[in-house]
Amino acid sequence: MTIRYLRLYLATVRFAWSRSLEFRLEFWFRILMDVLFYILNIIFFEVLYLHSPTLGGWTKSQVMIFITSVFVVDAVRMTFFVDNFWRFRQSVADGKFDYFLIKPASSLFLVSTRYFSVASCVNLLIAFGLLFSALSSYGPISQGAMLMYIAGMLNGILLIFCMQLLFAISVFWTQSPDGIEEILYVIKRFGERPHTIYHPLLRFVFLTVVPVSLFASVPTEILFSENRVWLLLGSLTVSACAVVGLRILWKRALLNYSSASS
Amino acid sequence: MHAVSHWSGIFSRYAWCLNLVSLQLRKKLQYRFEFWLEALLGSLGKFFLAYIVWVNIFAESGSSVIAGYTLSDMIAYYLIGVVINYILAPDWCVLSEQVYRGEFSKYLLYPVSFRAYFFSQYLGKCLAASMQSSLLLIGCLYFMDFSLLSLGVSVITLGVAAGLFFATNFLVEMIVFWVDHVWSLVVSLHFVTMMLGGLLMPLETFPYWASWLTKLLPFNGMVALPIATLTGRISMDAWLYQITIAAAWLIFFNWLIARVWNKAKFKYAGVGI
Repeated sequence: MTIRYLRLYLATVRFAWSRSLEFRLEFWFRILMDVLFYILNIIFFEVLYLHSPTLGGWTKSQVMIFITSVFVVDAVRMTFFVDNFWRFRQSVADGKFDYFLIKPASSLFLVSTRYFSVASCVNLLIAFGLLFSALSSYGPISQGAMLMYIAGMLNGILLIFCMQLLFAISVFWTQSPDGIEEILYVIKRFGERPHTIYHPLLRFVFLTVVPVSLFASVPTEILFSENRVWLLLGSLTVSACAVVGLRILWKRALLNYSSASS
Repeated sequence: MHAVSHWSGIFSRYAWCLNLVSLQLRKKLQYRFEFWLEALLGSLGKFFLAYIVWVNIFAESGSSVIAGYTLSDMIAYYLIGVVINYILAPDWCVLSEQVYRGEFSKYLLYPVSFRAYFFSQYLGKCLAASMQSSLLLIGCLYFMDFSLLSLGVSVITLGVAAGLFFATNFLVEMIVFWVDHVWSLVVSLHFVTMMLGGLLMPLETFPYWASWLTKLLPFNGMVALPIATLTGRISMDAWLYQITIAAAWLIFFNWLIARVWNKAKFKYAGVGI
């Protein structure tokens, strides 16, 4: 079963590669866009640190690890998820989602993996380069801390997938292809700042209810904190709840699909 | 009598602009839930995030004034900045999507300039966004300077800012006549406007040389200058200097749009995907 899905995904990647060669300039424009996003964020924090020695108790080098971790998570999101969920919303709104339902594979798998962005994949390499540079300029980090940081980041990627899917699913009820996507982007931006700057109550919300701080901020804290085991366990618990909740919601959403188009 | 018929003649000639503005407004109101949710949560979220960051920066730096801004000034800056951006920033890819789908042909048949047509649509979007932002606009009034002179220059500044928002976006979208997709370029322009226009942070917080340089760019006239004008943080001399630069950019962009269109119209094949 797993091998079959893996082969299906590899076929998707092959098609994506062909498609990216179809629109070559768009390929470079997308790289430019993400590089600008990276520059914009780095300048933002560089300027903030001109006026304060710390932000939320984090030093500049810690924040640089954090923001480059945000880049990696975002590049993964752009490479693997964004196009899929955008087209998925469109397909539900115009009634083309039927084709996913009649195919001999999991509909959730198909809508989540149908598209793959080759240009963003290049940006993923750039993001990894920036993260590596930030990590190496920070100083020595223990192997255990690094392994737990990687686990935290993988967990963050799983959570951002869940959140992206949760917002995309709303199309089954709203019937609008734009959905409530704008809200996701606003909420996601709260995860692009260290969670230590928030009021404890708000921090609790961003760690549990809307866990945007688990995408990159908590994994970064895992690197420096003494409580890293608890931080990681807490993150994994939230992810488990999100996955279970989403599976239930996905089944309900399918029951709500009317196949009517506009 | 003659004057009345003269004005009614002008009105009927440009009535299509009002029709377009009204049509755009109705289109925006189609999905009412999103209409209000997007405005309130979207704009408030951006403002709230900036507020939290600066509260921390002020607390951790131990200063009460940063780059000439107190915390209260900073709140006013972001509140007005978010509202200006929400009202004036154009919808993405309006022109490019139609060219890509081959639906642009209809504009070539209309008895009006396609640029004026798109600008009227843009004004409709601005009107809808103003309605959405009404609650935030009330908040902005608290920080605004209400002298007659200030209101006068604010209207001019906002007019130039709207022109710049429209022209820069339109220019980037016109690249679609040569390439198929420009979405990434439009988003890139948004990033540049955020950074160099002062939406992400006041331009005065940059090092002096960078702050000076950004004042010469068109993006300053889109966000930072309108905020400074509305809050009364700018002297008349400085305003005159900066609005002249912004107006010069606006004239340049409009000239460039006309030049690009002269070339683009020969590229458009009317074939869509």
